Amino acid sequence: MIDELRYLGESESILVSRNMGGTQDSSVTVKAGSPIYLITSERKLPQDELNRLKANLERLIDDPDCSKFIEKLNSNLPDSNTVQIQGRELVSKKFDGGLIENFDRTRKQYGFWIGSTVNEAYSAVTNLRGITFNETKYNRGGLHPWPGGFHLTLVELSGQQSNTLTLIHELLHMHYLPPVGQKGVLSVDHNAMAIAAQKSLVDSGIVKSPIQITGSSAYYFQDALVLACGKVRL
Amino acid sequence: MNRLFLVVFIVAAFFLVGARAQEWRQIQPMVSRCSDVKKLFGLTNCDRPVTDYDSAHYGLNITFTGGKRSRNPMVARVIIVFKKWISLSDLENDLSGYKILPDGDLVDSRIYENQEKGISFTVREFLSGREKYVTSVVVFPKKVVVGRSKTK
Repeated sequence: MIDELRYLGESESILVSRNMGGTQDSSVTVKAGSPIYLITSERKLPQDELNRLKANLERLIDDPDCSKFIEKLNSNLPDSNTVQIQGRELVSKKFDGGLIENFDRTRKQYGFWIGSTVNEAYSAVTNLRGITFNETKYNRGGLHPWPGGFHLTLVELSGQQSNTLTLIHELLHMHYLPPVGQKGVLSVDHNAMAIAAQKSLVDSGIVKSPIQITGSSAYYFQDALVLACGKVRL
Repeated sequence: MNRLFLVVFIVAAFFLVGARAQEWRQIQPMVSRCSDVKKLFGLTNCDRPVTDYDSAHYGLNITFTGGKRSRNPMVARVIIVFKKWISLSDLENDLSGYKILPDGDLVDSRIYENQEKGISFTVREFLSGREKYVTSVVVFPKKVVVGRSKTK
């Protein structure tokens, strides 16, 4: 049985796969000689880990600064995501519950997964099946500090903090209801999330004036999350 | 006569709506100034360092250069988030010169980036990549290519 695929090309290349955590195509950049991925099937995140993530999420939301920021974030995210495909309009309206309700809904309707098939660069991915954590990063506690963004939050996070902030990031991508007749949501993109985070930092009184979005919107969003919620020790 | 007038009106309205949906294209980083933004969107002032503007078709986030005291600051970067995602071919016919990059943790999303044009599209793919829709655009200063001659 094959248990590892290795890229034998001479230079860096982008490979496209249709089996990496979803029904859509996915791409991964690989370097010469490096493993493409280990053939380990994704599995459901164990119940005790799910309980721990939910308890951590509740502790973050109990913090007044973090809670206010998340609340403003929820109101600043776009009300809906809409696309017209082959004459049919699909609309994902914003989920009207909070993050805990979104966590419960995601667990019930989609699922939390863990596996080594997620691109090594990411801590987790959002796909039509739900949220899949990168096993290596999850066990190691993700990335800290985040390697981009506005560099206001170069703080060391514990593994629990890092995993919980990653969870919030992915939950907000999925903070929408499926279009009628569809299973997956039209998830919100990183630029919309970064703009919502920029407004929410000001609206919740964490900063007085907007911090410019300069680099990657995904890192900007994550930095804003660390700034608002990173002080809560988990 | 009345019918002709109605047809002309509908066609004119169609083009007007189309033009208004893409008025963001007239803003150029490191060229456009606060005065241009105010004129284009009917604003009375530019909030600094960031001005947000909400139209029927998109949300706009404009970052300006310079401090708060600068009288007529320049646009540094613009982010456009579409309320209804737009077909990629409606926004860009010529994809040569674009790099296609993964969009981090969103499995069905790609970034189409052209440094020389100073633009990147966030593109969501449907039907195994046969249908591509732009969810947002970032317009940033064009990269000046040194040593490339326009004429041979």
